[in-house]
Amino acid sequence: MKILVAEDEPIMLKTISLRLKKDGHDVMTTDNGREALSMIDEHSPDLIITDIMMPYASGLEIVGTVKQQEKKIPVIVLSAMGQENVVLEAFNLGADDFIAKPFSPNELSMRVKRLMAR
Amino acid sequence: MKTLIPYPVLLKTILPYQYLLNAAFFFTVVVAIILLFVLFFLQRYRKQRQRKVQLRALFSDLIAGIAICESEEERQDTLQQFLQEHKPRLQKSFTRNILIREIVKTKDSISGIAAENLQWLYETLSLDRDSLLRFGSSLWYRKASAIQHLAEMQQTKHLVKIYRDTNHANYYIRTEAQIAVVKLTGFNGLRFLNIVSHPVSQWQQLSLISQLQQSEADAAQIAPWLRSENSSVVEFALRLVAIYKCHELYSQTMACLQHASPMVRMQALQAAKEIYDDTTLPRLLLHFDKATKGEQAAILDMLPEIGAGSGEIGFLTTLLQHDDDGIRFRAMQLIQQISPAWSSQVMLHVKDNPSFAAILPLLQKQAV
Repeated sequence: MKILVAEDEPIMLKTISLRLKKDGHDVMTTDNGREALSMIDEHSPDLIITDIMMPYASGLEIVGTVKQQEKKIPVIVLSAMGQENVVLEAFNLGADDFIAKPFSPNELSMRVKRLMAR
Repeated sequence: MKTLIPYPVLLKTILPYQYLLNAAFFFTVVVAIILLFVLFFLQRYRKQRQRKVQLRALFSDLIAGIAICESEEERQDTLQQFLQEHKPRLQKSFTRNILIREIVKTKDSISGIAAENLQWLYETLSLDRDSLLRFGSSLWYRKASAIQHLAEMQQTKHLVKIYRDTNHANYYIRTEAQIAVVKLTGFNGLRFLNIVSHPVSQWQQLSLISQLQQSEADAAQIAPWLRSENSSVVEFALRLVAIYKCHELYSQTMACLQHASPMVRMQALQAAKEIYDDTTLPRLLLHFDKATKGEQAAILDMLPEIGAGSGEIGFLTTLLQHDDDGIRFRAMQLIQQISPAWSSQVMLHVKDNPSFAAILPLLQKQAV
């Protein structure tokens, strides 16, 4: 399974990436939204995990672009606690799941499994 | 005829040439020294920043690796692999402090077993000793950050030391210590309110409440804070009464309406709204004339919620003579809500009254 992880915090990016690799996924990473968008076009991942707050293009822009292009790629959005409006906007744009920080990498792994099983 | 002395000659008489030369030399040396200092510090800063970037990259592997471990064995293996290669680096306090900061920052974003793993890493590398060293620093920002790190890493064994600083003279140290004790022990951590003599700022009150999210309140502990000599403690206690709906503290809460501090009185009204009973409405109406305009407005705003009805129409009608526009507006608004029929009669009566000129269009707009 090819998963794209977009997160601007290096340790979090590495933690998520290691966790998913441990589950046997093929993981691509980026620390900014612009690169994430080009990687989506270039590699067509099976799943996208994106943080909301990122340089150049936000997680919302990524969700919006993916859904606008009618690509059937599920998107999981990561966001800090208390960003209720942003989360609602992400769901309105077509996000498939949402995880609030602080979150457990194991929980993320479970959610990935559940989404992929759909 | 007036003769003009040429400028250099005049300068020569005031400032001798040698003196000027010496001064120029002196200032050149001073500027050169300053430039050298600036260059030296810039270079040092650049090197330090580079080192930090390298160390962060190095530690990100360790932290991420430890975070995803699923057993004690796996954690030990991951750490040993790292130590085999990089143990000497971890002897330096500069390096260890960067590692502490990275662990704390990451722990802020993750939970569950991963967060426990990071705490394990912090304890296994005895990083709490480094935090304690910083804690002993005379520089406030070092001490405050050490308190933050110890709390984030759940170091309850250092609770007594942190607790002592909850009434520290320095605002930042004090507030970090207060947050830390609540983070470490939940609601019980608030016992610092028994001794704190410095004001607990509004921001700090909100921060403490956000830390308390999952703790259960103990009304018996809140009661003495409502009688504290520190008015900010009383204000905070009233916030707790409102949040945890401590009905058993109703009479003490209502007593705070007589408090000397306007902030406390205002907060008492907010708390009363959350724990009101049948006696609240008549008591607030009795209190109304003694209250400030702000409090009167707050009382009027809460009347519908605490059961005001047609019985209060008379009281509200008398308020239409009030000298404050806001009070008259609120009174009219309440009359409109409680008795629309009476409200239309009152509107007809006051329509030519100049003191209602600004209020009536607003009320009519709302009615529409």
